Amino acid sequence: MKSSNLLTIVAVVAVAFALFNLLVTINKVGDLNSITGYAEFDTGTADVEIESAVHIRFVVGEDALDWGTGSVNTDPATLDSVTSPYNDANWDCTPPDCPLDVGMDGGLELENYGNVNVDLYVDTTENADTFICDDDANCIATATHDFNWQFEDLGTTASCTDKDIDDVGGDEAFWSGWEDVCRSGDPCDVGGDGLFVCDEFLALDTDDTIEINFQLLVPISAPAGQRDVIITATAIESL
Amino acid sequence: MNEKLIVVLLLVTIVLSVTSLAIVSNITDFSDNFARALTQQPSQPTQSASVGFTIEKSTAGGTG
Repeated sequence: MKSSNLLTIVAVVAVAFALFNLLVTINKVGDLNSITGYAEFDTGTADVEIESAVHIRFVVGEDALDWGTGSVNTDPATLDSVTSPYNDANWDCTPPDCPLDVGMDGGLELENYGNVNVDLYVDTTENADTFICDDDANCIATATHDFNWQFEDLGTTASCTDKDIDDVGGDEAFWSGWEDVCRSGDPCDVGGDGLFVCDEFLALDTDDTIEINFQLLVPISAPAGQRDVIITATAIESL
Repeated sequence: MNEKLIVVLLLVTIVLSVTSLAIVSNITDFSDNFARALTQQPSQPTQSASVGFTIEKSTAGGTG
């Protein structure tokens, strides 16, 4: 093939591509008025609609509590998530199995990182009888045993503006004192979502976090073994 | 002028044209995907955490 013919063919192809490209570009530019944030008028109105989103999460690193391994030397021993070293003198433990050794550093921290205020419910899978005494009849009937929780507001002003506990009858006081946990399915469990803890859990940057602390009273008669309980928090958009 | 050089330049033009076409075609696709990512992010209204410890057999005499 002569080089001039080759040149002509390639040139025609190039022009054809360029024309096709131009047509597609014009067509796509016409579609740009549908993209997110496109301003329809010269008054600067942004065409964005943000839907409400309910999102809560336990803060990473504050999403599990473990008191390690130990035994009761005097009845009862107290473990909590508030005061370091998180166990009293009635609890015997040996490093590296004590609470501080296994990473205990406070309660569970729950954050509302959605964009709407929510109603907050919390429940557990166990109560004191099943968690502390492991359903042992002697422990349940005769020994002091407790599984309590307490809620603390970590907001700069307030993360929960309406601290509510329906069945307990109090509100603010509940947040500063130890109360029995609410096991799923027990009377305290409102509609299957758990204990109604907060009526307005805010979604503000500086006011969106609460801490759930726990206290365990463990009797000498508590059966040996590993104990685990799941804490579940449920959020429903506030009306 | 060297005809081979012209052919090379035209071929480069074609390649650039095709690349440009591909980029433009993806502009609105990107917008659609972005909007979809915003609207379809699943809510996370329920979260769980674990609490636990291990009790060893007590060596002290207790009242139980």
